[in-house]
Amino acid sequence: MKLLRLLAAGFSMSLRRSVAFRVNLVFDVLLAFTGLGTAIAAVLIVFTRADTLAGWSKAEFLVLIGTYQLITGLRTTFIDPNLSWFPETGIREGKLDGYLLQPAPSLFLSSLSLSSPLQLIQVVLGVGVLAWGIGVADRSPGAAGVMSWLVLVMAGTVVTWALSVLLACLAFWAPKLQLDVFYHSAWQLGRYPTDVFARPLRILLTYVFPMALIASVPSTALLRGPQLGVLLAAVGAAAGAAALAALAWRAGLRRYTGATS
Amino acid sequence: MTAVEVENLSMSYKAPVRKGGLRAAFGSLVRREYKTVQALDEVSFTIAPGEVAGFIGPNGAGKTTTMKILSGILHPTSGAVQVLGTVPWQRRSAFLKRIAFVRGSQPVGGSQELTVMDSLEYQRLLYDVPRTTFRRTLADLEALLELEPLLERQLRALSLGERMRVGLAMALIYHPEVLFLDEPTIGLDVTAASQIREFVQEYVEQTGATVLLTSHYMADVASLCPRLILIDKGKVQYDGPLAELSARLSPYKLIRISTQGDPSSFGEVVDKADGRWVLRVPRDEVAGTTGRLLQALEVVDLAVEEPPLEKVIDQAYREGLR
Repeated sequence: MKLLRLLAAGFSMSLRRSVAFRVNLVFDVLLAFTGLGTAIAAVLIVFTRADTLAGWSKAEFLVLIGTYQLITGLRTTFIDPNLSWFPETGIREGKLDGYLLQPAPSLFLSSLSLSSPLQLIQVVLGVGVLAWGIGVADRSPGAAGVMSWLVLVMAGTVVTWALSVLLACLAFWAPKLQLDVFYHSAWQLGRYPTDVFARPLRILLTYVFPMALIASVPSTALLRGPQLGVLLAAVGAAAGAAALAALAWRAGLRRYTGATS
Repeated sequence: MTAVEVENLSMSYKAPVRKGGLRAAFGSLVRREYKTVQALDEVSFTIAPGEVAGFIGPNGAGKTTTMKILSGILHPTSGAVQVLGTVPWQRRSAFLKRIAFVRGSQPVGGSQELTVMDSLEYQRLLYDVPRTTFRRTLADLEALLELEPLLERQLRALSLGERMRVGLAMALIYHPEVLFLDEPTIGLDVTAASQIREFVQEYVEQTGATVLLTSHYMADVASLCPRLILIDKGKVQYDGPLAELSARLSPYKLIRISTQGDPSSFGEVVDKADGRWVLRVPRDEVAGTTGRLLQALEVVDLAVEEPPLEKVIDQAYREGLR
């Protein structure tokens, strides 16, 4: 309960902070539009030449892009402001020391207490593209499909959070390692269906670094109907990833020797 | 009952080392050498509730590390610590609400775009301070720290002195019982520094809080801390009253005397100018020498002084305690 209130307070404070910069607002909207626009344009161009791509129709692709955009939006709104460049901002600038003094779980404070509300534009745009995709689909999704899509999106968001935490935890062992660029590049692969990739890459992106699953799996469930096995696996993966993140965080804090004097 | 209890506290960590030059840099790729840095070595002390203790020592002595351990940020390598009856690094919420750690080098963390009031509100939420208590405490702090003109300002626009005042307000808004103050007056001008000192003094008198304070300014320590803990190279070198430390370090006192005569035969002359002399006299001979001076010369004015604390401490840092 307290965490929710803190989250709300953090969000409200971030909102107060970001409306202070009007120019930023304009540019964030523009950036979100261009990013999404180019992704959609590429897909539309491909589908002027073909009806399906690796078994995916145009509608399915749009749903995928919409879902991807939505999760990306959630990530950039709630997770990135906290954990990106963690070795620099969290450890070297001493932000972590401050969090460790506060009477709330340090993992929560370090990974979720800040947000950048303007990035929610991406979520709104994502929902728009999603609606467009559903609109042009041959058959509209059933209630079960929508429900499982929702569960899978939530699971995907949790896995995303956990991956960001694990990446940040690396800083406790290798303080100079900043893999953010790598992570963000790998993230881009999430906007394509897993079927597009050759087998070795597909296996890598499914099991080792499950980027491709984050949008592909929910989109499949939405349009082709839910599969119980996939749902259970996703919830299990989310719980497992979150537990692993929490464990790594605890282990990291035990090793933490501080960076500021 | 003690507020802070530290027993055989040690902290060491490995830091990579290599010689200068390209060759050594490449060499360290293959074989990395580490040096174990002993930041704290079997440190023990206790602080009673309501006590104000000064924690001094040269840079790198281990002061900040000790404070970070006491406030739960770091896990020590070995040793036992109890603050308010709990182990700090378990970081229980109930414990964290009872302590505060304020650092002069970064008094206010968090988003710098927020106003002071926004940040204080967030503290209220974080520390579960009831609204009525919050308003009352804020009114007190406003008066003591002259916060009123700052409340609507953004954190990033505050001057160093203002930041320190705000930092203290943020920490004291939840009424901590134990305060760790790490160089609270660093970089402040004389007025701002004495304002902070007066404030800490008043807070302690009003609330009976326990304080551990580090500072390189002896004025802070001399005016606030009846007791001193001197730490150097990770070890406690002295723990006791300030006066005793200066007596131990400096077996001399200074006699400041205004006279037309020549008192140079009564002690070592440290300074002289227009009939004013400063003599250095062994501590146990002060009374006798003073008497003889008054008899032998026509003395206009005479005062006996402790050597300046700065000098004494400087000597302690350089030469250690004998």
